[in-house]
Amino acid sequence: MSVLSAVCIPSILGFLTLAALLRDTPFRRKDFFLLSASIPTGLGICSLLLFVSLLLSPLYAKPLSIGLSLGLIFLLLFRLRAPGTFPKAVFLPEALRSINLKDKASLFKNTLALAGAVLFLYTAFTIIQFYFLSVSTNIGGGWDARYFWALKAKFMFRDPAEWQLMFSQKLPWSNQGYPLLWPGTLAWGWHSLGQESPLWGPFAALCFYIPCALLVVWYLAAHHTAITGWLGGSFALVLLPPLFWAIHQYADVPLAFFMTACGLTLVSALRLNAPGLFMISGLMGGLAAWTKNEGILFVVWIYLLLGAALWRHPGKNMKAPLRTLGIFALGTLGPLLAVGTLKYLARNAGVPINDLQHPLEFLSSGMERSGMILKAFFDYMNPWTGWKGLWGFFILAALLMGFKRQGKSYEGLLFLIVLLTYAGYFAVLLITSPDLPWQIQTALDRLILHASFLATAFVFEMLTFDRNIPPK
Amino acid sequence: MMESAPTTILLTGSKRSEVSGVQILWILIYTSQSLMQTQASPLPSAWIRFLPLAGSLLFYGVTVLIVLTSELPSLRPNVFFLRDQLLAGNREIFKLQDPGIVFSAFTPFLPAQKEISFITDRPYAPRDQATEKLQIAQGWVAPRVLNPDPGEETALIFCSSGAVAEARMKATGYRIVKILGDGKGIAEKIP
Repeated sequence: MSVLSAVCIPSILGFLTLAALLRDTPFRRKDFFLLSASIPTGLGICSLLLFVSLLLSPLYAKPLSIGLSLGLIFLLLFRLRAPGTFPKAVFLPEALRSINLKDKASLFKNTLALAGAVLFLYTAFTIIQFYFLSVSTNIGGGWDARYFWALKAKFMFRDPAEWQLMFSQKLPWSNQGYPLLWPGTLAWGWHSLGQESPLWGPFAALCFYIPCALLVVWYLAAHHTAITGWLGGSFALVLLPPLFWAIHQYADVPLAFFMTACGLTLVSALRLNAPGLFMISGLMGGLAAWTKNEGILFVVWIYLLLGAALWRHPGKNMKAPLRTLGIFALGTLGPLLAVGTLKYLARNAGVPINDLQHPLEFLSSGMERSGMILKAFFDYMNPWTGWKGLWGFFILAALLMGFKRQGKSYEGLLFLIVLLTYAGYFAVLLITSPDLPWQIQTALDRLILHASFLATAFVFEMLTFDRNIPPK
Repeated sequence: MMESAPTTILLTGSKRSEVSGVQILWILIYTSQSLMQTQASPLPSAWIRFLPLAGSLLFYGVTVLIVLTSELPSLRPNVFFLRDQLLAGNREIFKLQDPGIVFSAFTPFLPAQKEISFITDRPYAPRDQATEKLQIAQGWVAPRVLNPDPGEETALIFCSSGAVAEARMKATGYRIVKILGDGKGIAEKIP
């Protein structure tokens, strides 16, 4: 059976979930959003369903998880059964429908957009070619992929009845309490295929990597112009660190996807005041927490920023900011419950207290460590080969933002999400692990990539001066 | 007013030579703000139309240049064959890439117990290079748990030579029950 068959149920489930949440939510490029987010969202939900099945009935986890996902699909189809609920865009992409060859002004824009689309497709084709060439030489991925993430998936697949052995204290250095989205995705695919196929991992990783760039295309095309979207997406594709870690099948790329999706849908939701989008943003934030511990920190920042944004601009239509916060919280609920349950199961395998800096030691070496971390951030963000000047553009965009009146465009929110994400990582590096150089060497590049797609969207939003397209 | 200073320089022309890149940037920002916020601007409408477009086109141009001149790392020549196998869905060839395959000889003799000790040349130490052997073996024998401490009834012996294996078994209190190679085998705890 082809590995692609393992994507069938997740893609349908993800599409229907998002379509149900987006019903009656008017925004541009809905088709592109569904295209970019359906498969990763579906894979995230399927990993949750597998986790629930393992908790409910370990022995029958495989049929139960597939049954639950099919049941959810039928439930969503039932909800969406009313005529006209499927966006027309699904059948005829909006980008095509908007082309008007008779109008000379729009012909210029369409030509530009077409050129941008060609550039994006060419870049995506080249990158995908390179991706398959690279993964074929190392199908199992890097250290963490083989020995942390895939190991957990093996416990979930090979003997579901004994899956909780993954939390055993006797397992050395296997990060027992780490969230399970990526291992769940691997195990889901293996269950669907009926075997532990080595080919599934690379395909699944690609299912998260390419949508990161598609999200950037969607967001910029929806809020600016099509050409901005295509160029932003092309730029996101040529950033080498995300590509490198996708090839190595680390969970950082799925985390980057969910963080990007959460941030971009949150800004869209605030601009449009759309409850469905708040729910989607919450779901994406929750799935980020279900992917890696860094995602839990991210959700905390998002809650704080959303609270601050609602408090600052309660708005005429936003009569109940608490209700909005509640809708967002409802989206995060499922994944966060799963994270809580997982942390409870692995409660004896948390962060060892001796990994934290002793207060006296912290006071004496805090300045030195801070300097070391800041220098490391600079060194890792600087290389042109990897980041193509993204962080230079980011600083320029931040400076421009300083001169620009924000109003209710919430562009500053993207900047704050990126800034707080890195500030959080800075603080964590500062207070944990005595072996800072080792931690920087092994983790910092991956930590930086988490918010890189959000940074790309922010840069293109600030450095292009096209008029914002009003929401449709 | 911060915004008016550079505008004046440009419009009067009296200090044209003093217009720097920063000031031009400032004008771009000002005009783009004006466009987006539909504020009244002291600049001629032609400038208001032209500058944001020029700014956008400049950034688009830079982006296209970056994308088109991006280079990907070089790859080994045999990758095209492997890529074709991957796309053709040939799983078997990729199973050989699993470093755990060296433990396949142990598979038929693995005990029923879920927890097994793993004995190698040196006692377990985090971040020791030798730890990778344990991680590879763990991936192969999962869902059994490999304990690096020599406390389980059965142990998987994976040493570099028979002599080293003997010494390690003596030190940890095991005796061999199945030899699977030089320094490799399955051992049981001496009561």
